[in-house]
Amino acid sequence: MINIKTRNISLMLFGLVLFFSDNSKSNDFPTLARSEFVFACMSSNASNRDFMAKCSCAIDEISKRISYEEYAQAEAIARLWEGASPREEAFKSVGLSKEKMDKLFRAQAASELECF
Amino acid sequence: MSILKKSIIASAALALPFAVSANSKLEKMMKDPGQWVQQSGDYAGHRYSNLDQINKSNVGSLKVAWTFSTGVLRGHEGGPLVIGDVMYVHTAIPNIVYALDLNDNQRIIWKYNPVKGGKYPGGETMDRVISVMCCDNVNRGVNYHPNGTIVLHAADTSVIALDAKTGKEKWITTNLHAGTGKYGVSASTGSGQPFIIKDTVGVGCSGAEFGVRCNWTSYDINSGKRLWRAYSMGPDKDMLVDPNKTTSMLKPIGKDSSLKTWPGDAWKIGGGSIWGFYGYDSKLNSLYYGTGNPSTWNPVVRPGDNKWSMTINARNPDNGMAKWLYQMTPYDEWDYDGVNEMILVDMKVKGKNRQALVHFDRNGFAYTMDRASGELLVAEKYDPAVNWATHVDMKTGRPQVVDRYSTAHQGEDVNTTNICPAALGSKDQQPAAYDRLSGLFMVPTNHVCMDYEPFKVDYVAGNAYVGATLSMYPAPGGTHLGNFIAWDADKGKIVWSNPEPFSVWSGALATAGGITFYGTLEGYAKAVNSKTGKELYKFKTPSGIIGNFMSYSHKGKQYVGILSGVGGWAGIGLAAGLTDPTAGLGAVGAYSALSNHTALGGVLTVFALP
Repeated sequence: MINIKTRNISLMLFGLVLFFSDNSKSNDFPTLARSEFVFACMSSNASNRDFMAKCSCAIDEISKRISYEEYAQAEAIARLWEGASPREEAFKSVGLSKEKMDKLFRAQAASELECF
Repeated sequence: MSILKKSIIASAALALPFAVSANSKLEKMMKDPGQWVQQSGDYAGHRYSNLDQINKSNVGSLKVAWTFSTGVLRGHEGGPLVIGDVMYVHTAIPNIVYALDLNDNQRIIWKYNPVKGGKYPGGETMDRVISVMCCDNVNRGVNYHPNGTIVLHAADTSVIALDAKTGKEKWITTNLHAGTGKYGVSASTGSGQPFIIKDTVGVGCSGAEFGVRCNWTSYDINSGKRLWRAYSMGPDKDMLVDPNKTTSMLKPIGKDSSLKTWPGDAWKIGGGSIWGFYGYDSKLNSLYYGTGNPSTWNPVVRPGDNKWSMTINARNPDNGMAKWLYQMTPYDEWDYDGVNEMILVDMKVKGKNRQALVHFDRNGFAYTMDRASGELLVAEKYDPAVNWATHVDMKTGRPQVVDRYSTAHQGEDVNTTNICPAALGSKDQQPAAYDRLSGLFMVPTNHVCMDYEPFKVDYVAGNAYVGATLSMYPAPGGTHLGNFIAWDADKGKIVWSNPEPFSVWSGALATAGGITFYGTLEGYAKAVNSKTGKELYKFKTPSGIIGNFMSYSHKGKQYVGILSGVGGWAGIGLAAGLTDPTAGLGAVGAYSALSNHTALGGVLTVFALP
């Protein structure tokens, strides 16, 4: 069995998916952002044709559920979460960040169910 | 302390006659809009480009001309320099410097890495240095001296003079100690720019979170010999102040002005770090910089004004003597470091022509001062959310602190809530720009408040000495964490304000094209109309932007450059799973695949018209 990193999310957030409401259908992701996701997703899973399809599917599903603006903000928070400086700590504790991340998690979880 | 002298050794006496000419040469180069020869563009810190090829009518069609990946992860502050046809780019730790040939597709002419065998020149390991960096692995850029030297202030406090042509070391001197050891001098780090004045280079220090006693130290540019050192606190002779001639609020500061404001010898670990962006006025021959917070963050253990932490310093760069001092936040209770940039502008203030100094402090007040006399002219809030003080008393210069938000008044182990701004300030180091066309200041700001609980902490040399627990959140009534504002420094009023989802942590650049550039933590490079704030252009760079915009021209074409780079592997973080915050970092196997991926770390993006 291939170690699928993204699968963890679907298990942990399965409950949340039930409450997920598909109210944002902006589908406005630039191709570059999709490519970048697919590249990173393949890098962390497997660099083969099968995962190119799965990862492409995942970003398409995510982009159906959140706007690119929301995704870009979640991406910024994700970067900051990886640091530990006071500036980054500040963002970790900001309630706003958690809400924005939860929306991304829900979209990710949904994409898991659809694509993997 | 190791001192290497590899080439050019000139005695101070020999160098002296050339001092004036070297200085005027650099100032002349600063006036050439084709080059960007100092981190702030010029000594006045205007961050203004006279180039107008890119302007408000065509900026919408701006395109990426080229990019350069630094190959280094984490926060990239500061920006590149352009000297002639060569661009100099620095990185976060390990503080690599690249020289790029603008005539030859940005070919790397040389690359310098101060870390050799895992160690910095001062002897500390890179891991040790990273462990005592307060705020990410940042460096705010290199600077240039017209004798052909690029100076790097590395994270271990080493000051490194490099031959601008070859990247070879001319001399290295390690300013302070990044390791464990001496009381009050341990665990200093370097993140601020090295500042060139005449034939000297001056550096500050970071580490107020580690109980250092910080200082400004000036070195001879030719030999690396130490010329003078002015401590932020302590005995008069350590601080290079004259009790009778050095003034504050136009009055002599008197004897032992600092010692009297600390309990016992707490000044020995008093903090007062210096790591922002500085100013220099060659006519007044004055250097301007700000000092940071007193140690610890728990105010209860250090009753008194804690002078001269949180202070704007005006000094003679030849001997370090202080001309005037102004303490913005006496007895800091919130970590409102006074290190932010000093912008020198000749302007009308209240109807009178002034040689002004404008400073946007972490504490949420924007100060306009007479930079010759040190007179306080304007002190107003530049974010309406600021609540820790009602106003600044213009007679005494003291902020009128509100008890409800005083962490000392509330006391140890009490959580003081809803203080605005948060410790990162209404603005941190991200430097503002001065738009010479409109006379307005373009200011990147934070709009964040906090709860702050001080607790008792014992000082152990070389270890963190913080003593407060913080939590931060957006200012009341909104969900956004930042604003990009235009400020009138005469009236002390906001002219326009653009909300941003995150703190605006990049340095601004105003240009003769009527536009101002800034970047966001999501990674957007933006251009706005300087007069109205209207957004005219935005482009998503590969990472968050905390660097400073700069502009130059090459072969008749104007370029605008910005470093992006925040945190770690964003792409992999999102794709590999965020429920486990270590999942992204844990994907070690992916590292090799990602090592060639440009989104991995710092990227310089350079824009031009098509």
